[in-house]
Amino acid sequence: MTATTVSLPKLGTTLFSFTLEMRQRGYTLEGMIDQVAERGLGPGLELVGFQSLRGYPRVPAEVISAFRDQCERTGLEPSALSMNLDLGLHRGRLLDEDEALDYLEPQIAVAHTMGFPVCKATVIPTRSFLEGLVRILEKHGDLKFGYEVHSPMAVDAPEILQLRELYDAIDSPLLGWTPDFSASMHSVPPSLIAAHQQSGMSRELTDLAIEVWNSDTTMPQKFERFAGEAPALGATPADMGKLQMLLTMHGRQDPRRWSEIMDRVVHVHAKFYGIDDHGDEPSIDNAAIIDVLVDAGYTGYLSSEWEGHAYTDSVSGWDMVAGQHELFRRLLSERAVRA
Amino acid sequence: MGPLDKDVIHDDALHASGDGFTLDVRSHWYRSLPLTSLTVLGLAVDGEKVPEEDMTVAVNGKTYTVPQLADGYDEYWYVLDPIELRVRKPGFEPGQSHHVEFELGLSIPYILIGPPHAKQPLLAASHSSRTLTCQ
Repeated sequence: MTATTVSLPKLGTTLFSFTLEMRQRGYTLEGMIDQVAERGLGPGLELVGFQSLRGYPRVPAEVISAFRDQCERTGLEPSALSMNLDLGLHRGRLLDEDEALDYLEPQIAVAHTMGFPVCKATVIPTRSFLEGLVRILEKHGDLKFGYEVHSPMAVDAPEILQLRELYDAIDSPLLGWTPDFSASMHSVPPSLIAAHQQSGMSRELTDLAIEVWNSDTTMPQKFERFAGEAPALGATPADMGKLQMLLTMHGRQDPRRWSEIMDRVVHVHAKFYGIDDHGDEPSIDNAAIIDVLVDAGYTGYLSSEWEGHAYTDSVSGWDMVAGQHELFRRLLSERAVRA
Repeated sequence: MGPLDKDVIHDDALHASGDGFTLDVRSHWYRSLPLTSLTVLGLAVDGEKVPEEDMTVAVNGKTYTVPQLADGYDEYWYVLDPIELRVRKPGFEPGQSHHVEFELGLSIPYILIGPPHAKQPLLAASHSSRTLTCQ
């Protein structure tokens, strides 16, 4: 029997993982990118335009060429530019379709100039908007667009089903998906529960949150049950907000169901919230997700996205991402052997 | 809501300015936002609420009244820059202690919530309560 070679995804990091680190004294974008390279957290390098680039999307030409030179020098590969469609830009009204496309175009242009092959943002889910988006992507180097499927969305959420139909109807290779692992979790992150307990929530209250999260009910039903039971367990209005966020930000989709959209996946957000003593992510079945990606022949980036910084500053984003990369290297080599 | 709340008002944020004081304010959101996102700037000093009309906001070298922020869709508050609230109010000298209560409400323009026909931006609020030494 001959050994089969299997094509594997590449590793990478989004600088969003270092949201707290960028507030530290002495921060520079160049310094942060150098650290990604020195710590071996590439090769994929993703960033959020509105976070990492002053003046974005009007980025000075010298900043763009310095970025490209630095990638060349460090061996990092621009993976995806995270853009934003600020539909609520104006007070009291939302952008219309034309305004929304005009808002995205300079961001797409800068993504292309910086050397990113993929960009991502939300969309207005209409055929005319998506066709307009394709025209802009074609104008800027056939850049690919990866709509992020993030909790509370999942591959079968009504909004995503609607987009899947539109994608099929338009059938452009430039329109794709960015699965985010937040949508397919098997547990509430222990680090989040610990942070909530540390902020004063009772064990009974966090237990209720976990029970409600695990129940096979709709989001409105979950919110309703919370509203009914949490106040008796001492939940303050601030606690209620945090627990509603917990329900919204972590989804229970079966990881195997990512296969339904794999034919159009252009980028992957390897969201995570912690690495335990065994080197595993305690709330996400990364092995199952990697199986789906490898089975589908995905060879793009697994862009590590540490999001525990939203609720804790007790660990280093650098250590977290390094831990997840170690986990991925183990899972990918196990998978390569099995292939 | 999270660790960045602690970053909104630094220890050295309060400055005497001759006819009053200035307060440096940092964002509790992770990305730059348009000035239209600055929807709540609730300030009370030593228990006394500062009326909106007594306050101006300096961003990117320009100064805005609070109502003018509503038109600032083309100007962004870069995520690492503090904005400066300027308040005319007598009685601020370097070295004095003052208690500052500050409510920052940011309208998040890409996270829309509510029913499909009435979606509106999420309001991300942060509350700071600090006793500061005037610089």
